[in-house]
Parts: sequence; C-alpha cells; structure tokens
Amino acid sequence: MPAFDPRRRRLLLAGLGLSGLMRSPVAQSAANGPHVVVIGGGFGGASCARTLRRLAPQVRITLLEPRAQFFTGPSTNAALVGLCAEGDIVHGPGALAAEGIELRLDRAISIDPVTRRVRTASGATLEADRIVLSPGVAMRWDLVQGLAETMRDQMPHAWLGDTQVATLRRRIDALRDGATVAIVAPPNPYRCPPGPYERASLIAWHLRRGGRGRGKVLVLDAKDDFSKRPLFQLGWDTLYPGTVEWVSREKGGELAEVLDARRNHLRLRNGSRVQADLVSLVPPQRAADIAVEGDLVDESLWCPVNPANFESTRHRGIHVIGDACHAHPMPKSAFSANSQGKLVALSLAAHLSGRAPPEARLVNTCYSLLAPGYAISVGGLYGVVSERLSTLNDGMSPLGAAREYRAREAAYAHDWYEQITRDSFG
Amino acid sequence: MTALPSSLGIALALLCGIAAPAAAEQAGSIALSCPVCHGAVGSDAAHAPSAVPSFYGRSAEEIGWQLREFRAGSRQGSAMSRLANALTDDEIDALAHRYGVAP
Ligand SMILES: Cc1cc2nc3c(=O)[nH]c(=O)nc-3n(C[C@H](O)[C@H](O)[C@H](O)COP(=O)(O)OP(=O)(O)OC[C@H]3O[C@@H](n4cnc5c(N)ncnc54)[C@H](O)[C@@H]3O)c2cc1C
Repeated sequence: MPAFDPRRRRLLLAGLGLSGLMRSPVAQSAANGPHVVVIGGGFGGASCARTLRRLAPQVRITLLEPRAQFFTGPSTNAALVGLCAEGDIVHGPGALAAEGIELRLDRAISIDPVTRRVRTASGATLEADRIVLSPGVAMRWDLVQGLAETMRDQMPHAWLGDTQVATLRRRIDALRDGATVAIVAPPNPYRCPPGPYERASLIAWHLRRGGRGRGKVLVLDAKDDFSKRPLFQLGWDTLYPGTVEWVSREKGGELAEVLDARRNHLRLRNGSRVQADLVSLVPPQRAADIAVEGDLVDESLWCPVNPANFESTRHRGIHVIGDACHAHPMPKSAFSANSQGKLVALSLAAHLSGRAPPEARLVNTCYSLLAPGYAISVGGLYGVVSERLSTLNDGMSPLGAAREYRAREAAYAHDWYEQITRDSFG
Repeated sequence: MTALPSSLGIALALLCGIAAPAAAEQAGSIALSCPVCHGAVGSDAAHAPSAVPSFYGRSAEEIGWQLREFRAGSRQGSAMSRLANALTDDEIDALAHRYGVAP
C-alpha cells in the first residue's frame, strides 16, 4: 500500500489557503480579444479552459476557482480504504496559469445573466463576452426529516473533494472488526451514479481484509435500480458473500428520518431502524449555488441546456457543463464534464472565427473498482438526435467475463485516472 | 525525431503547431476525448498509458483498421467496442488522420 505523500499534501494545504491572481504573459497578448470567463476549475471548467486556450489564441480566458487543489471525486473511494494515498488524489487547476489562462483563486458570488457581469468574493467585477459555468453540485439537506447540514461531519459524504475525504478515511480506519457500515444512496440524478456502490464494495473489501469477515455493509437506497447493478451484485456475491446488502426503495430502504446523527441511528421508509457503527450519507443533490443565483436552473434545480453547444436555454451566451447541467442520458461524471468542456471550447472557437459549429459527439466511460484487480465499466457515445442529447451506443462489461477481464479493466481504470487528470489539469 | 535534420524538425513542428487547431476542429469533438484514456500524442510519450493501448507511433492506416475491427466486433475491447460501434466511416477516417503518424 502506498504511503501518505507529504509533498502533495503540503501543496494541497498551501492551495487551500491561497488566494489572488496569477497572470501570465501569454494571456496579456489576448487582452484585447473577446473575454471568456470560466467559473469552476474542476474537470469541466479546466478542460474547457485548456482546450479553448489551444484552439483560440486570440481569446482572453479567465478561470475563477477558489481551490487551487482538491481531492478528485474519481479515486476518492480507493483513497478512503487506503488503496492509494490521499496525496495521490490531489489535483486542481493551479498549473493553468502558466498556460496563458488568467487563474483567479476567487469565488463568483453573482452573475448577471443578461449583461454577463460576474462579481467575485474578493470584490472584483468581470465583464464577459461568454461565460462557461462548471460549478458542480450542492447538497440538499432539506429533503429528509431530521437531516441538517450540521450533521455533515457526523455522517460524512466525502462527495465534494474537501476535508471530509480525510475525515471519512479516518473513520473507516478506526472501524472495529464486525462493524456495520451504512451507505445512504441518493435519488437520481446525482454526481457519479455508481459511486455509492463502488464505496460499498471497497468498504466490504476493507472489512474483510486479513481474514476478518464479520462486518456488514448496508446500502440504503432511494432507488430501485442503479448503474451497473447486475455487475455490482455479481461482484458482491463473488467477492464478499453475505457482506454487502442492498436495500432498494421498494424494500423500504429509502431513508425516512435521521433519529440521532451522533449515534448513527436512522429510520427507514419501511419502518425499520438502523443502528450502524458508521454512516456515510450522500444527500440528494442540485446544481451548485452560483447556478441558482444566476437564474440558470429550472424547477428541477439543474441547468437546462441546448445539447448542441451546452448553451443555457434560459440565458444566451452562458454555457453550463458538467454535473450542474441537465445532460441526461449522460451520467454526471468527470469524463462527461471533460467531454462537454471540450465541445464548448470547440464551438466557441468555431463561433469566434466564423466557422460552422462542430457536430456534438460526447464520450463517457466510468470504471468502478470492486476490489484491487477487479473493476467493471459502463460507457457510451452520445450525440444530438432530433434536438435531444441521445445515446448513439452504450454498454457495460459483460456479466460472464473471466477474472482476467476484470483485472484488465482495473488496470485501465488506473490509466484512465492518470490520463484524465493530466488532460484536465496539465 | 532524433534522426531528422534539425531544420526539418523545426519546420515540421511549426507546421504541426499551426495546423493543430484546424485539425482538431476537423476531427470534431469526438477526437478531443481520445487522450482521456489513450494519452496525448506527441508531447510526452513517457506519460503514455501502460495498460490502455496508446497511439504513439501508429500510422493512420493502422488506427483506422483497428477502429473498424472494434466496430465489426472482430476485435474485443471493453470501452472501445462500445464507442467504435457508433462511429461512421467518415469519423473513423478523421480520427485515423488526426492521430496517425506518417509511416
Ligand atoms: C466518490 C466519487 C467517485 C467518483 N468517481 C468517478 C469516476 O470514477 N469517474 C468519473 O468520470 N467521475 C467520477 N466522479 C464524478 C466526478 O467527480 C464529477 O462528475 C466531476 O468532478 C464533475 O466535474 P464538474 O466540473 O462538473 O465539477 P467539479 O469537478 O466538482 O468542479 C467544480 C468546481 O467549481 C468550483 N466552484 C463552485 N462554485 C464556484 C463559484 N461560485 N465560483 C468559482 N468556482 C466555483 C468548485 O470549487 C469546484 O472545484 C466521482 C465522484 C465522487 C464523489
């Protein structure tokens, strides 16, 4: 098991506290060109900004992101059980300043969606010709009885790349032999559809490591189906028989009430009470605050977009990508966000140079790790058919695949993580 | 690259540098997703993926042929089979042209 990497960790801590503007000489040469303001430097925003920088040298690009570094969603579950070091999953847009992108470690606090004026927490006002918004998700704490945001550290979700990742990792580390862990899975749509089930698998691996076998992982679900379900269930039966129990909505698994967050005491829709040693509660989700503030969400609290170029259908000149937008049937994944970011960069570059808009072709593949050397995947190719974002083809790993196939996909998952982080953040 | 006379190398690099945005746009948005698994081409071969096949040094003919094999199902991959299945001939040709190196 790789050890904790103090170098990465130091960078992270420095990044979390840093603020200010990093401007590079290249950006100044584009100072008189059109101004594109990208809000959010995660997988969607960073890949959009980098791609646009390469395609359209005449454009001035400002990237607003308060966190120079964060824990990435992908590989979070592996880090939680010690399959990689916390430092291994720290990335961010810090290096983009050297590529001719004006990186401001600052938060957008308001967007005027008509004038496209953006105000920031540090008091700056930015005038944008185009805005690209990729701010991710926010948690909804108001939908479950007894649930409040103050409980976030008692039942950590570790879903937003902050210090909760370290908190949950410590809690998992401290579990006694024979412990019961409950994972509360949210209703659709939400960030990373297979995430809760990957987490259940890897916690099962952790509980049974070294011959221990009495632990239990309950997945309490607001849904009756989930991404790659047959493959996950086959994996659980094969790797951890009797350890992982999925309680569907139909079986009453949906969380009805938090009775006592400190004691990990929950009540389910079917009336039964759950007393766990550890709860990881992933709340229902919506688009991040800034999308709501900018009048970019509809009644679903996600951002409707034109799938040809991800321009908001509510306000012209503002493109919303990544988890915050409504891009069904694409899942809310890092791969989807990266792919959408590049499409927007391509269409902005085409627009600015008077060329025909690109045809939208979007890609996703999500790997889930069930144990070291055992992964499964789902993915597809997407395009616009009759003005709707549509699946052109998709699929998942075969149910009957040999163990070598799962091992190969685990190696692919590892490569994918290395490549997408380099591709998005340099 | 080391075998090239340096002036030719520089000329080629300039040509590629200038041609890159246009070529990327021609191959469309799908081409921009390839590096997410296969690694970027040309810049840092040292960072090529170790398990996922990379394009380094592959010719356009070979890439086009492989994509058609995936599409036909005669080559079995995992993610690649699903994606290739929906590609048109024109898309395959554009991808091969974008990522293939001259033989
Ligand atoms: C446990 C887990 C596992 C996952 N595994 C995978 C996986 O294997 N594969 C995969 O493809 N995806 C995976 N994901 C999903 C992936 O993390 C997200 O889909 C992806 O990060 C979405 O990109 P984004 O750009 O929309 O949001 P983010 O990457 O979250 O970026 C949003 C950024 O916007 C910034 N921001 C927010 N508000 C403002 C503001 N007002 N001003 C300025 N900046 C702002 C935030 O600080 C944040 O950095 C996983 C997620 C989790 C939680």
